[in-house]
Amino acid sequence: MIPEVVPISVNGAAYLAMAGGLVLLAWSRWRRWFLPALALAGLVMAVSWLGPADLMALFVFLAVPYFVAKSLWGRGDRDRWVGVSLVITVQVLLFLIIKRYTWFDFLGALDHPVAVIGISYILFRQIHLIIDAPYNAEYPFSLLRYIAYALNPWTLVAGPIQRYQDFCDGLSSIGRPDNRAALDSAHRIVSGLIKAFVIAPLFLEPSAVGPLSAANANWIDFVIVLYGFPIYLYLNFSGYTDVMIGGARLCGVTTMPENFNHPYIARNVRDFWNRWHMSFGSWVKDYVFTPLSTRLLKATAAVWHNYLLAITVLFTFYIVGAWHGTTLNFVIFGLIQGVGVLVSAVFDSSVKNMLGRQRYKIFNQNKFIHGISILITLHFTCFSIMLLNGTVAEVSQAITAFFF
Amino acid sequence: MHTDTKSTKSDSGAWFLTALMTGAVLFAAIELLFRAVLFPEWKAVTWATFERHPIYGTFQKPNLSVRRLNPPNYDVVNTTNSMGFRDREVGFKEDLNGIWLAGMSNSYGGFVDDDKIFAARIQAMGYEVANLSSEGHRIPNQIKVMRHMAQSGYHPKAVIFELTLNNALGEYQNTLEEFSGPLTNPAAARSTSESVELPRDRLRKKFDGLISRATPSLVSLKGLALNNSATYAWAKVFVNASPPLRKLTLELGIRADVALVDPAPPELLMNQPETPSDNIITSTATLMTAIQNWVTTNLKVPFGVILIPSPHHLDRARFNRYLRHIGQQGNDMDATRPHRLLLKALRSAGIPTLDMAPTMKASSTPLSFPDDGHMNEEAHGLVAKRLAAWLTSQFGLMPKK
Repeated sequence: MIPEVVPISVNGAAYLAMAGGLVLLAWSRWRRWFLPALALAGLVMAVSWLGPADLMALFVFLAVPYFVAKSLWGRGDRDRWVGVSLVITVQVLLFLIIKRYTWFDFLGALDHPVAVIGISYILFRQIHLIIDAPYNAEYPFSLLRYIAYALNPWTLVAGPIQRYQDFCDGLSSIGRPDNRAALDSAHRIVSGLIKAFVIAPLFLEPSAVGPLSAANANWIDFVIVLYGFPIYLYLNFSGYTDVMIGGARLCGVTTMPENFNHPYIARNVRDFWNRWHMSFGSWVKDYVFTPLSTRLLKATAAVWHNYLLAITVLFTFYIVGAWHGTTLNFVIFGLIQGVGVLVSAVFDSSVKNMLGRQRYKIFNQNKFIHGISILITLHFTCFSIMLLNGTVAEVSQAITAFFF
Repeated sequence: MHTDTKSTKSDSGAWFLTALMTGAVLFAAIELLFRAVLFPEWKAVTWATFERHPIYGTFQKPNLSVRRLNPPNYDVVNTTNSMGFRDREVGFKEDLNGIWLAGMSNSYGGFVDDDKIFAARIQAMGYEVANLSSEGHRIPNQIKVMRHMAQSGYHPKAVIFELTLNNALGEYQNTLEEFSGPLTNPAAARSTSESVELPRDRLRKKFDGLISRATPSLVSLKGLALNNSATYAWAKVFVNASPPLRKLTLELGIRADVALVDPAPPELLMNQPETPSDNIITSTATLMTAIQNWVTTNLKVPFGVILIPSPHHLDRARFNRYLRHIGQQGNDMDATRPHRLLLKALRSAGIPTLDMAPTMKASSTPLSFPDDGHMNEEAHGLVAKRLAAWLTSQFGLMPKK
């Protein structure tokens, strides 16, 4: 690790130097060097977080997908199904080992288990790259582009998940934005820093679930915990995303995907996942839900389709939960969200059948119904998010103490 | 014409943005340069050596090995053993059955190298000494350390308590309960699972912290800069190490003058037979008597005090600056008065007391740091020499052959 400089975090001097340096390069006549500089910045950022064993793990994790994507690039006619599936399976296994899931911990016995920063996001980008490689003939692909894409400092630690096509389109528009756009980007960076590093931390410690089991805890404490952690999560993550998108836009890159769209005013759980961590939601939809459901529906009789769709939704949200964390409570969180999606779909469908299309539309446009829907969704979300901030035992103990 | 004006405005806006961005990058690059190359000792200026101990309160972290740097005051390494004491690792448990040396920052000697503090020097002479002191401790904390050691089954040959004036003085009436109360520190226990801080209290504390950070004082801003910027820390150290710059910053009032600070009430220094503040002398002597009673009754070993004079007592120039600061005349005030009174009270109570004032007054070299009232290496040497002789003459304790 680099002494005294590591790790490079978004609110530190090293990140300011690095990101600001990229901006100045993008604004200068030497902008043709932007791609190597971006790759170098990503490498420096990754190295700043990693020890030698971690770097070895990162190298192994990056190598195979590059060669596979290179061999498939633009060759849409190739029969690639077996090879792609094998590589993705190996990458997922590697990911599970490196991430050290409690139920898949092969490194626990070693003295120095590896920990690779941003590995979840790197995996998403790799899977997308390998699956889409045969159809990406119009986009250039090289080792330099691969490193810059996989370790992109704007998306390395916590997204958003940018598609390779958007990454290339962004590189082609590197340059100086007009003053208005530059000021808007700077404003977004500053407000993101305030959200993520000034306001969000206020809610993290107070929203721990454990203290709710104390004998003198009351409903005020419960309310703080219930709403505090969702507030923290949103401000922290969306603030971070604002800094990244603002930084990219200062370099002229306008193709970074948005990640949030007022998620806590969603009117049902499906709507919530269209507004929360949107780049992740669309990735899961494109690379898990759609391929799986399409294959299952094709292979089975129509009578099974509703059941299979429900199972696919639950499986997809199982993946969503497992991705969010390495312990059981994250899986339970995912499954609860999956059940929420199914219930809202069944409810919508039942109401539509009951009222008919026209009256259903009027029902949905009713402001009171809309408000109630938002409140129900918000509280469903807040209760299930409690699982992300405490153990299953702590959450069940707190719920029991206050409601039973 | 209109287009030209717009174009000029746009150009100046672009120029301004470029300058702003260049400034930000330069600022960050300079900071990195200082951290990585020019001043990697930054962490030694912003040391964090303490943690919360369930019994002792704030206490040194165990297994520390940190460089502490503040020229011209010090550039030293502090090492603690696995129990958090500034003493050796191997043999410390045997030392705990030797002489217990209790005390505050001067015994801990955080600004002097490990082997130069007087406890280590005494040990090097062959005495078995366990240094129980802590930099941030007051007398009540040290009582808890001694009680804990006794409860853990250690049994000393003697207990020596270091008192440095004038910050050792205080109103200690409530402290007498320290001998009978529970050993666990309630404040420290709050951070354990036994007593949990509630979400509403945590939230209130967080918002209070935010509000206090939003309305910072100059001192807190300087602390913030020191903890976050190697460039600022380097500038501070550079200024401190340069006598003309030190003088200039002192005159400009942007650097604190340690001579202007005295923790004792000024009236305690007045040349009068009695002052209303004399009660803190009496209270301190009473507490030391209580410690002596506890030591002789429970541990059944001798007890003694090392009395170290205040920097004002030893340095007339410093004292004169202090007098000017509080608007007093030299003839009306006496820097030695608290020392004389406490020495008299301790001896009247039958507590063997090693008075370091004559030896330290006779020294021709400065015995504390220029910007700090703590004892320097020379002072530790003098104390060690006197203490070794006194341990033998007063208590018959001999070094191991």
